[in-house]
Amino acid sequence: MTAFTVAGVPVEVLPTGRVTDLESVSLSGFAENESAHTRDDLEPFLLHLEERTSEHGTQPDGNGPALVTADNGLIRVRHSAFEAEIDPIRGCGRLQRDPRSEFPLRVTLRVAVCSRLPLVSRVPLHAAGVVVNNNGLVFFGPSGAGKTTLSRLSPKPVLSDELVVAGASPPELSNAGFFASSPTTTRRHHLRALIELDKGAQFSMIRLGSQEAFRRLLSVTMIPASSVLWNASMRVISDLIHEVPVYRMAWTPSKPPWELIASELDIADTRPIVADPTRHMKGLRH
Amino acid sequence: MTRTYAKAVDESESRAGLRVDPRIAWQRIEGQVVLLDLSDGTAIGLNPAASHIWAMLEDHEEEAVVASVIETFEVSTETARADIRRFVEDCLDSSYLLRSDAEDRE
Repeated sequence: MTAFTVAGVPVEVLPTGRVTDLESVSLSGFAENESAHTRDDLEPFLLHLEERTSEHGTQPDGNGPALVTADNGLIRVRHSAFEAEIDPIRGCGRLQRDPRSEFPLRVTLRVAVCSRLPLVSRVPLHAAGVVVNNNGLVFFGPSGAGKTTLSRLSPKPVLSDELVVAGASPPELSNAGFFASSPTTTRRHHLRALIELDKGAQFSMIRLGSQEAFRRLLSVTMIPASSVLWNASMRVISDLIHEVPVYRMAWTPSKPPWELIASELDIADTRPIVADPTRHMKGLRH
Repeated sequence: MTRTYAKAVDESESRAGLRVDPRIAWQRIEGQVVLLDLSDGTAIGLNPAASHIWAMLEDHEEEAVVASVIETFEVSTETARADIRRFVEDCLDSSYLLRSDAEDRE
């Protein structure tokens, strides 16, 4: 499968015959997980694969993180094992990689999708996403704020503890297809609140004003440093804070916050208990 | 003849206007402009008058900016011109704005 969807962005990898078995396995998760979410009005992002050998002595997926830079609207990804150029506006890119690993394709796709999202009115956020009673909640904050701890302790479905995608019109939340906690949690959810994590002995939730909320969300938006993409991202974030409340929540791991959050946001599970519909049929069975 | 404000700032230097440096992204949030410097991630909030001027600079004529500042902030023509000139010079000094003939640095 070389045509698939990542976080609502359709992607096509070309030419089909150049995709390795390792890469196909990596891509199959996207196809299976998100095939139902393709946006018909979006042209697919076309990624052209080329082969090259790694620099002498380097591993195809080793030697540290890739360097992502922006230059005149083009995004470049450089690594000892690969090099990619992405044009998010035209919706195409080129990847020269060592085909012995799927790492170059995975990294390039992540950068390409994160670059493309603001142009389709969505933003990738370095944050955890949790679904509480069918409401999507984004938890964000600097490293050490507690995203991973909160996700690990969550009794509710966790979309990701690392990267989620938020949209404003309509307010929606999904995982980005990368760092997902579970392949079964890829659908979009109504986005009810964005919550900055803070440490505190007592639970509290304070709604942030527009200016502060905007600045706080800027700091967790995962977009390459291109002014075109950031201007688009800032418009999305502006719409987002207009549609979805942003809070700062103090909490401590010793006191699970879920019921308090649900109460604060008025999203407690109030569904009536439905009787077993087969209960009345028992006497009719032979 | 119509002029953009940048031409009035230094007519001898260039006939071109002003443009935002490619390392700067910006958005207006409830009337206040927030500039984001992509080189270091710094967010800079402009005050109401500066926000008003910034939002008009790129695509309005000089006289339109001056007239709008006079009307919005109830100041004299001289004060409006002086404030706009000082703001533009500050933005040029900080490289938030470039003259249109300057090279991109993104």
